[in-house]
Amino acid sequence: MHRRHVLALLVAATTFGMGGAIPSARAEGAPIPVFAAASLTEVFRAMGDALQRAQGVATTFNFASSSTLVQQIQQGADAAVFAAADETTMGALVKSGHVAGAPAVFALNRLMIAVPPDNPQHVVSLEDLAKPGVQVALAAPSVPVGRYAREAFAKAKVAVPTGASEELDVKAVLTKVTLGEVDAGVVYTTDVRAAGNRVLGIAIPDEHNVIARYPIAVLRDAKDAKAARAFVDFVSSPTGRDVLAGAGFGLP
Amino acid sequence: MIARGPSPAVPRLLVVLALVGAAFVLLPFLALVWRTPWDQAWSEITTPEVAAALRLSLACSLAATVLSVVLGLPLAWVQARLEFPGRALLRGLTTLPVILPPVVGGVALLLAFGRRGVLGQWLDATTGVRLPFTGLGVVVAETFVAMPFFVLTLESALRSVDTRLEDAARSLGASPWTVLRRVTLPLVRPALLAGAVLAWARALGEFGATITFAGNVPGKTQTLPLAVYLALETRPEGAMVLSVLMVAVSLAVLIGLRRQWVRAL
Amino acid sequence: MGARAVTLRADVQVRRDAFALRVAFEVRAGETLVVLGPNGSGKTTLLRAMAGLVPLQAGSVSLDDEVLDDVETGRHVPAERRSIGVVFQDYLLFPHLSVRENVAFGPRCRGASRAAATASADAWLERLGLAAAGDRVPTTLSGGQAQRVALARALVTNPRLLLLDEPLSALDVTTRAQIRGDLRRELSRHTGVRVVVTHDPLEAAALADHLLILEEGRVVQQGTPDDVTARPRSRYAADLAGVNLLRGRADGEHIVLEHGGQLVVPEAGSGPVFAVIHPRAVTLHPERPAGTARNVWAGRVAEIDVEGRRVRVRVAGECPLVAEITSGALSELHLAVDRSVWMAVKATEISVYPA
Repeated sequence: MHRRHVLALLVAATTFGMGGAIPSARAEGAPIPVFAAASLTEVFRAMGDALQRAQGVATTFNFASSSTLVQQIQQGADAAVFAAADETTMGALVKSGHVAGAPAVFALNRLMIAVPPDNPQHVVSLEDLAKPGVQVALAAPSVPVGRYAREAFAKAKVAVPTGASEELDVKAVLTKVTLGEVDAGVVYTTDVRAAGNRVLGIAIPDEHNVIARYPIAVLRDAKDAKAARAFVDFVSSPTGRDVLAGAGFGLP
Repeated sequence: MIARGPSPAVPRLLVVLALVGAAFVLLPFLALVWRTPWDQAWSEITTPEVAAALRLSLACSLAATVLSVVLGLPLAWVQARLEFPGRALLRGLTTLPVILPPVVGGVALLLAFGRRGVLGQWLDATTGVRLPFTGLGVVVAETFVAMPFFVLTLESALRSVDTRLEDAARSLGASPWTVLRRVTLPLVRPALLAGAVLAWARALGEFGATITFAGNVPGKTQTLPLAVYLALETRPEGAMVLSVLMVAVSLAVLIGLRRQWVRAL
Repeated sequence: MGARAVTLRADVQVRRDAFALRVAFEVRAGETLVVLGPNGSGKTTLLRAMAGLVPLQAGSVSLDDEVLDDVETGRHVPAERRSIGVVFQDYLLFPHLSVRENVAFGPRCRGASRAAATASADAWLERLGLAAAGDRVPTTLSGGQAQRVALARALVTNPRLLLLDEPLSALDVTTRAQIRGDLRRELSRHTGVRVVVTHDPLEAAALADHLLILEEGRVVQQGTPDDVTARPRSRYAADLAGVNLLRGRADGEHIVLEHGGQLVVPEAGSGPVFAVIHPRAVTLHPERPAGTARNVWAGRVAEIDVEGRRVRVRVAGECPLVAEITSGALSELHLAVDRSVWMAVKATEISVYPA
């Protein structure tokens, strides 16, 4: 290959590559970057498709634990909308001044125990998780579902299992269960539903359970505030609420 | 001696680029040291969780290094000296963990050695030994990512040994084992040490494979890198202090052993 | 020749990248066989085959009554189990061990205690004049010292077969001359079989009881040094004898040489022949000489080698020859390199024998 061709190719590749890194004013119709808690993975993807069909607006998603996302936004990540799994995490972002306006709760969730389909340790309650020989996965204490789970243990007056693995987000907990590497994990009911027949869900009685409140907000540094607002409004619209309900989320 | 500028034989551009390269690597460390809240350092380091993570990290990385040497040495020797069909493939596979994203390695380890894994099932059934969520699992994950570095370093050194010296040893009556012990290995000692140090460094810093395969159990499998990552979300100052701690420990070992391993590299 | 007690019997065929080596010979205990030949002739391969480092394609090697190699029966005794001592061309001293540890290596491998091995090592170092060098590291030794350490290392295990690969070629010319005699003395003290491989005719002349000339993997001539120099059949043998050797086709009174020139020789016979001309029989002249000499050629001085009152002049040209003249004659003729000169040889001074 001629050296000039190689050079041209190199320049082109670099330009295209850099195009993603150099910030620029967002063109009309560019996808809205949405940062959302891991437990919203399946439902927000469906939400994005619905929005595309209804208004022709595209979205890109970044799913991770709410606490990780807060870190990323505070370090300057390019996000227009943030949806968290608890109000504490959102509160941290409000405090650091990254939120435009006021957050609104758009969905509710509850906890559930997830076990492998054959339930090898015959787990039926939170108490069973504290039994010796039962390998448990929880999310880390800084992750919303991890915090909720510890609340639930406290309510049930059960000690948090020693030797429980502290995963980075709720989906990691779920994966450990589906792979059969742990005997039980504490996740959301919506996660159990999304996992289908790969896990078995064990209900937690209401008096021990925790109601997770999911706030959503437009971010101060959103490039296209109008489009961001449109997404948030869509989530609270009847269509959006249908999508949420269909996935098993509660509605405020 | 009076220091002069670069001699005419050294291209100036090379020196400039070298400086840029050095700055690129040094700047993050300098920024880390600059921004760390030193007043909180002591209280952060002396928490029981951090002490546990530090102990675990050192113990597991050391064990992983030993395992890497014990298994890696024969592997390197076979790859360097024996000719057999599929040798190139073997060499590629044993080098793979170097290129593979560590999480992928972790997943693969789960599928092989996890509770429901191909070998893990058998292991659990016959010996009751389970690897995930145990310190042993951490060692396995770290060895998986670290051993290829040892093998790479050692294999290259073995291939450059003058095999005629081994012929000389044989002519004096040395059995193949004696040749290895008294001639070959002493000749590659620098590479042995360099490879071991590289492997140890890699093992100490391992994150993805560890958390995927061995999980994150404080006190049992929560190594320093995992502790740092989680601390970053809740107590960034704590994360910084832990990071500096890791850098300090690593630097101490690398500089302390520099005479042994720098020569070989 | 009557039957004699044979100690080393070898009939080897080894295939290397470029050629096939095919050699058969016998050596008695107490004798030194020198294998002489140019680089690439297969000498080192032969030596490595006898050491057991290279497998044979066909043939056998036996030492006393022990079969070391026999391709037909599949027997191959590996190098480490042979009673051999090898001095390698580059000595191959272990760089990470001291001189003493190098020499003690063999006995240690064969089961001697550290104390016994060290004692043997010291004894040999003393014998070869290296008593003070025991603690030194091989890289600090001079060429001559390294050579002696290599020899000590090979001899300390009292091997029945001693193999030396170009033992002096790594040394400079002066050291070589000094050590040649020492080596001969040490070799003659060794009671087993000795095989030396070299490309240097001087080395061969100094060390050989028996000579084997190897070219391109084949034996071209063998015999005692006297046999070989009396009737040289190769350049090497000729160099050994210090004579000019020419090859050609005889036709009654003429010999047509390989490279084109021609010799006039009475009763040359017919067919392929060797012609030997002693350098002393070659006379040099500033112009074409008159006289009875029938063999006259023009040439150009290629090299002048002065050894005291004798001078050897190598002349290139139609018939390249080496002439030996006195230093007086040299100055009289004003000879210098690249000068043109005429050579003459009396037909009666040329000895011819079939090739």
